[in-house]
Parts: sequence; C-alpha cells; structure tokens
Amino acid sequence: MIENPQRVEQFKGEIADMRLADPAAGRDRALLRLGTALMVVGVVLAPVAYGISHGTTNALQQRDAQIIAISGLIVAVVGGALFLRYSMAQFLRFWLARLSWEQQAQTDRVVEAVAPGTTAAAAPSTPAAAPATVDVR
Amino acid sequence: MTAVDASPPLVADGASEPLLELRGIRAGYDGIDVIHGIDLEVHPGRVVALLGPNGAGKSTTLKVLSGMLAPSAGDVLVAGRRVNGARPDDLARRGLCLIPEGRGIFPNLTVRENLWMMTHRGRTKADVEEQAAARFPQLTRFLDQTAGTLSGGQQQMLAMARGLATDPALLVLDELSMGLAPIIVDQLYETVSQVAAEGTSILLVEQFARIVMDVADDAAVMVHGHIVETGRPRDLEASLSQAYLGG
Repeated sequence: MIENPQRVEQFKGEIADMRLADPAAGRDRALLRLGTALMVVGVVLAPVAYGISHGTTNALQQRDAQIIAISGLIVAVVGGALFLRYSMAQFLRFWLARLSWEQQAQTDRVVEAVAPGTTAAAAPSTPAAAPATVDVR
Repeated sequence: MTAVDASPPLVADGASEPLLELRGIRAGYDGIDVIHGIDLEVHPGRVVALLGPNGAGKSTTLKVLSGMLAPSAGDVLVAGRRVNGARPDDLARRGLCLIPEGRGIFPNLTVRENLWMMTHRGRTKADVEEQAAARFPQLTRFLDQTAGTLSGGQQQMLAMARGLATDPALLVLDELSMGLAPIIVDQLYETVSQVAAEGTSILLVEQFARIVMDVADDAAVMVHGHIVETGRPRDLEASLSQAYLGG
C-alpha cells in the first residue's frame, strides 16, 4: 500500500472545513413552489381587482381595488424573483461562467493582436479566434 | 453463494481511517431502492474494485458517494466526516473526483478548453495542459479539436487527464473500459496503476472484472444491490463467476 500522507492530510482538512448544506434542504424546493404560487396569485389578483373596480361606482371601493391590483403586482414580482432564484440559478451561473470565459478569451485576442507573443500560454484555440481576424484600428 | 442483507465491510490491512466509508447505504429512484444497505471502505493508498453485473447498483453507489444522489438511509463518510447532503461540486473541489460512465467531457468544447475547466484547484491552464501531455502524449495532437469528435479511447483519456489535473485524493472511475478496444483499455489501466503507485486512493467500478484483477488491492462483488463478497480480487473469482452467471 502506498500512501500520499501530505495529500491525504490536506484532503481531510478541506473536508473538515467544508460547509454542509442544511440536511432539511427541502427548503429550496419549498421556496420554488412558493415562488410559483405567488406568481399565480399575483396574476389572479389583477382580474379580481378589475372585477371589483368595474362592478361599482363607489370611489372608495375602486381605490381598494387599485390597492389589491398593486399588491397583486408586488406579489407576482416577488414570486417571479423567488422562482428565478431557485429554478434558474444553476443555469444562470453556468451562463455567467461561459460569458466571463469568452470575455477573457476576447481580451487575450485583443492583447495578442496589439502585442503579439504576450499571451502565448493562453493563445486562442479556434480558427475564428486567430489574431489575424481581429482588427483593432 | 447467497446474497446477504448486511454485507461485510471491506477493510484494508492497515488500521488507518478510511478515506471513504459507506455505512448501511440504501438508495434508489422514485422511492424504489436499488441498493439495500451496503457497507464499503476505501483506505488511503488502496485501490478498491467494485465489481458486478449490469444492474447490480454499482453506478448508483457512485452517485451516492459523490453527492449526486441522496441516500434514503445510511451514512457517507469522507475522511471521517459524514457528508450526506454535500454538494457534488463541493466534494469534487476538495479532491473527490468522479470520472463517470460516458466520460462526462464537454463535447462542444475543444480538448484544450476541456482541460482548462480543471483549473479550479489553483492550477494554471499551462500547468493542466502540461500534465495532460505527460500522462497522455496522444492528446497533444488534438488540443484544438472539438472533444466530441475524438474516438472513444481518446475521450476517455481526456476524461482521465481532466480528472487527474485536479490532483484528486480519491479517484472514482465508473466503467473505464466501457465500449473501448482491449488495447486502449490496457493503456488506460496502465495509467490507473501509475496513479495508484503515486499514492492516490482509487475506487474502480467495472462490469468486466478480469480487467481490474491486477490493478486492485481489494474487491467487492455486488449483486442486486447487495455486496455479497469482499476480499482480494484473486480470491473472488469463484464468487464473480456466480455473480455473473447467476445461481
């Protein structure tokens, strides 16, 4: 048996320091469902408020309906934010990583075009990314 | 040989704390368990092979230990710490590297870009490329080629190069030989032997048991979600025959 004690100790240390998610992690799913429900409730409140407003000539009731409609809007926005946070977070994180990588590659291409040889280690890898295609004038 | 409910734990000679330990793991899909209370240990510096026929629950076991599937019962301990509920990327970042069945490379990225994805442990792009070239010189000819256009063997080499670039403390390999020519499989297992000789702990999952006989220090035979036998690989040949042929 061959061991690499240094790496093993480092691994143990890193695992010991690792933050673990709450075991009751159905929280994410619950918040996703709450977000969806709030969006639906918000949208439903709009026609309800319209119905109330349309069905009366009483200005006080119409103002109440306006408040209900605005509340519905707020509820829908909050629900949308929750939904976005807990459903698309993974996708958006990957998209952001890709975007920053492409920006870095673009920067490398510009630098290479301006001062050839300075980014040799990170030279663009695709034919489309060749320095000759970059016009910096 | 009969399946046992409480499978015997696989324990190495040394008294060192296991790097990976599964205790009474049950897991499955849609409420139906496909592994039924298994125990398994991987000690530092050991190569352990988890063998068994198709559908035995080997890949599900790997999903559980790498954090991709939550067990319905039991504990996953990594370096002595219970990590049930840990995110797969957290475990990977710290050195538990799973090379999945099907290789898990990004087919639309070039070989070079695939390698660059492995710089999260603080290594530079050049460093990662250099290490990949040292392990698999063949890959250097394809650095700017889209990974999806490589042959199966080259893709598996890329997957291994990516995994090894993270300097894993525990390397988990799922069906390395799947769909590959014997000569390529031999090359890949030669690399596995080198990595093991450098002191990395390895858990191998293989359907084709004979391939790993010379590489593994310990082996466990898995059938229908149970570990039915553990021991030295050569001592398990009879059990393996029964596991694959039934009876």
